[in-house]
Amino acid sequence: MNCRDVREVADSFLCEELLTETNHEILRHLETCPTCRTEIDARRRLRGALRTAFNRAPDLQPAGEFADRLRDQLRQAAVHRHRSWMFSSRWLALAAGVVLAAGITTAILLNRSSAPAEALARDAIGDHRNCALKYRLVRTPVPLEEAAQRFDSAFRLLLNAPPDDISTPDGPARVVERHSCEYGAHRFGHVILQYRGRVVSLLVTANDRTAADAESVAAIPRVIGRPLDGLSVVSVNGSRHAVMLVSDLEKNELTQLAGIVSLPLVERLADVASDRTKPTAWLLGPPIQKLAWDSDRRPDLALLFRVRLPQP
Amino acid sequence: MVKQGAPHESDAWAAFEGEVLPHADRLFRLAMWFERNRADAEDVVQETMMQALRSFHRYQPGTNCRAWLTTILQRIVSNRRRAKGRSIVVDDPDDRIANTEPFVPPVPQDLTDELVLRSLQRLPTAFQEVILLCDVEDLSYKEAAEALAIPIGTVMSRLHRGRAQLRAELGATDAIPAGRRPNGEELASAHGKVEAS
Repeated sequence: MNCRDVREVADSFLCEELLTETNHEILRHLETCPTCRTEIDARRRLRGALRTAFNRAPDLQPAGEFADRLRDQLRQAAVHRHRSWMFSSRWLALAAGVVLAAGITTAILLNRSSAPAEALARDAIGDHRNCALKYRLVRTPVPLEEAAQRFDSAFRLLLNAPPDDISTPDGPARVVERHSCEYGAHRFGHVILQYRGRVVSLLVTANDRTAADAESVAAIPRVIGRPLDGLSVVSVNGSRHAVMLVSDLEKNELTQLAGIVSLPLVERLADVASDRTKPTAWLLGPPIQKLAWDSDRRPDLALLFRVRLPQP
Repeated sequence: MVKQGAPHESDAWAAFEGEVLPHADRLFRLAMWFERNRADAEDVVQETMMQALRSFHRYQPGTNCRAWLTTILQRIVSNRRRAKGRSIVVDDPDDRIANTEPFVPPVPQDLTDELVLRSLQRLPTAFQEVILLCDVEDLSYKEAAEALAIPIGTVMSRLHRGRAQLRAELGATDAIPAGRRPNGEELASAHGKVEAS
């Protein structure tokens, strides 16, 4: 090993990240090379100086009472958690039977679409991580209006839904950004929320479930996919869109937030969808029921019922 | 005797208190460095500890508790930056100075705490993070990569460039005439000389 080799791995040497054999080679070189020895010593001295300076800087030390206050808060939280656990465990056995029966039924219903749900959850987590947290998307996000024209008119709804300030029992949630972005195989309408000091992504995307699936599964918040790096996805499936929340919040907290934010949005998305698919009788004149009644006596109007306009 | 399946409150708390709470001071220093505000730093540490408490059943005794806590803290700091609209990832220093590695002068002999910390503060935040985690907190490359949610290669490259730039800053700061910064005696009396290690 020569001087250049030593300089190249000097950082890893100092961090003790090298293989034992490589370490030995460096040490052998240092025994005979005063220049490299001086360089390594200088780097080690700077590293030690940095550590010492940081650890004893007066401005960086916590206030004396902070440790006690923190300890008391944590102790209370621990007691509260334990009591909650004990309380809930008493009901667990009773609830288990009911949940088991319901779970088997639901599992049968959901199992058919578990693979797509897993893929959707992965993309949702990827989008949250790379767009909301890191700004590292391959394709730049686009404004919702543009996305509504190019990809899905339902994204227009996200221009003002959910509202900028949302009140929840656990504190306010605030919208900090709205746009549309793409991750993996999915195009999302993306609303970024700030809630309890965390970043939460609300993602809306077209779901590919069939109409039969849509009827068979109620629109309830449920966890989809497996958590990844502490990030979970709670989804509410509408007739045409899935509305997901992604965050590192606890699952029950995320589910509760979904009940407040996602459910109303799913209903509004369904309204938009049904408005879009209603026969456009208003284009042709009187209400369709009136036409139906009239058509018994007006065969010439019956033709109107057989005209099915293409869906937008 | 702890009942099977039911976590005993005092045992769980004792484990948490013994394993996690001793790291509160370290966490505070990191939080204070990045938040630059005592109240915010206390919020960050409190939130970190609360999350650690909630997730303590997932912590494996014998693994690096400091790295685990640092990962939680970094995620919280990152979320707060994001919420305040001061994300550091958009302006990636790896791209910005990929070909502009500074000349690396020798490490000054007369290193004071203030000189070292002032030079560190002049680096891009992404470099500060890696240097603090690897050199001060003594996290491994892998642990630092997990805490910062970046690849190991990026940790190594940022550490290399960050250390080089730190030396350049030390050299530049050291070269400033004595009248423009506190003299050696003032610094020594304020913070004490750094012992050579």
